[in-house]
Amino acid sequence: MWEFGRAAVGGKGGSGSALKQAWMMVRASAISSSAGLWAGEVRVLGGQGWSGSLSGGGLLPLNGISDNKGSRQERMRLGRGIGSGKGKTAGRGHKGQKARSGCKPRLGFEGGQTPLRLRIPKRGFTNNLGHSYQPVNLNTIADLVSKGRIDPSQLITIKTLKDAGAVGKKMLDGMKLLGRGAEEFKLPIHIEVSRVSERAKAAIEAAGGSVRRVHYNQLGLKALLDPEWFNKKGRLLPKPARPPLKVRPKVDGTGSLPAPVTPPESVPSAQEPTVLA
Amino acid sequence: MAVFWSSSSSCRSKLSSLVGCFNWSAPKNGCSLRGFASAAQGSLTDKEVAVTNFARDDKGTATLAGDIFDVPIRRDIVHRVVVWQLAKRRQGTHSTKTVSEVSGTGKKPGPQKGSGRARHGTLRGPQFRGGATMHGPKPRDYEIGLQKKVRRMGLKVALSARVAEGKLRVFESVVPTSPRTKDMANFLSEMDARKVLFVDDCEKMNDSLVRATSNLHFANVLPVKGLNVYSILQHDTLVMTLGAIRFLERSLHTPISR
Repeated sequence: MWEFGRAAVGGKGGSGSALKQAWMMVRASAISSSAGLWAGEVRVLGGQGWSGSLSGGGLLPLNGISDNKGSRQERMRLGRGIGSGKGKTAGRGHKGQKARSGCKPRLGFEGGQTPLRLRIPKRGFTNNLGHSYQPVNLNTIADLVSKGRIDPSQLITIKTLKDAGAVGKKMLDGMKLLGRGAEEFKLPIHIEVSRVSERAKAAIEAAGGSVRRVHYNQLGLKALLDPEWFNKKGRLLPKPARPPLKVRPKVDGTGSLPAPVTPPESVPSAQEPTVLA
Repeated sequence: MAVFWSSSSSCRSKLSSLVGCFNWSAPKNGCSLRGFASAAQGSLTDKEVAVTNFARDDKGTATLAGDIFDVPIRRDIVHRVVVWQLAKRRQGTHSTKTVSEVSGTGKKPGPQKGSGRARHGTLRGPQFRGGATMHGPKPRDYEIGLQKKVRRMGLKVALSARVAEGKLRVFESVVPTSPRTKDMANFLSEMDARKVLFVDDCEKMNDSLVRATSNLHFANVLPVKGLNVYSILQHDTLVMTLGAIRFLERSLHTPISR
């Protein structure tokens, strides 16, 4: 086997650096004409040390397989003498509760003294009605369009943006369109998002597009982004939720389900006079 | 086409064949000259192989799917699958008795002080004859987890290695011409093989093959449903029926259920 390894590496004109690589090359044609449908070399990747050969025990002999180097960490042996560096106190320091076996005092326990989390008064509150949105900027959309991952001629929805990778896995309560890159934005796109900043709205409308703020609740977002989930469970797709009274002034309408592909008829016609003027 | 077993192999003795040490000299016009030796191994290209049977008839060729039979050979993946297989097959039924399980009284054998003897709380402590075992084995499961994708990849790598070595033979069927062990031993001695695994796509392997091979330690049979990395690695030659190959391709192309 070793002769093969050297011969193969020597044949390629490599030197010591080639030998250091994890794989070994076996020249099939040099070994036996019965071996293989491949005339060239067969690479065995991964593992460490000795590898199989076409002539001997095969490419994967049971005594020649191994996992990659570094795939297993060696266990630290505590209390095994001075030379180990973890000898006398085995990394536990000197005496006391934490040096003994068994339980340690719980996290945050300060020996009976009032711990920090009780010394400091509570402050703040959790807003159960608050919404937070994933930010999406105009430059991100322009970038995705230039890469061909968004079709600007179609209606761009939250699903389009999610599928194109404008945001990560987390959706929160929807998406808000923000104005970074508004100066260079020239695409006449039609887009539906949860909220939009004034600057972004102005930039899109100046470019000849339109923005619609639509309301989706959490179930609606799931139905929008992952309709397959309902199909798999044998459930019907939910009806889109109407926006609550407090939300109504902040949105232009109810988000449609399943994901719409064409902009509503009313929106472009309402926008056209302003664009022409 | 059918040049697997050339009659030019002369240095063969019946004795050596029966103990499974075959000296098979390769013919000069071997399989590598069959015109398929174009792409490098591991390039996921479909391969054509000759189909034959126990009578060594030429049954044409078959195509092996490249993403199963021509994947890069990864030793580490195979190692992980073998470790997983060997770990999960352990019974783990070993058991010893602790101090509370050993039969005998739990009564304190004597007073703590004043008897002139050593103090003891029980006569079944680990220091006593017939006493408990400390830190002994208890029944447990040795199985370790391995991702289904890795398990599948291991099987693909093992199959690809056999194809790369030219040790995967495709038969039309694995019904031998005769159910006699002697004939089977003769047949296998003419193959370039030390250990052979026959794989068929059936619930129960055909009786004549089982009878012919059951007394040969270097030949085993397995339905394709049970084909696994460890068994492939234990045998240097794999003989598969065309049906078994198609079954394997179908099952390995099915998406993994979550």
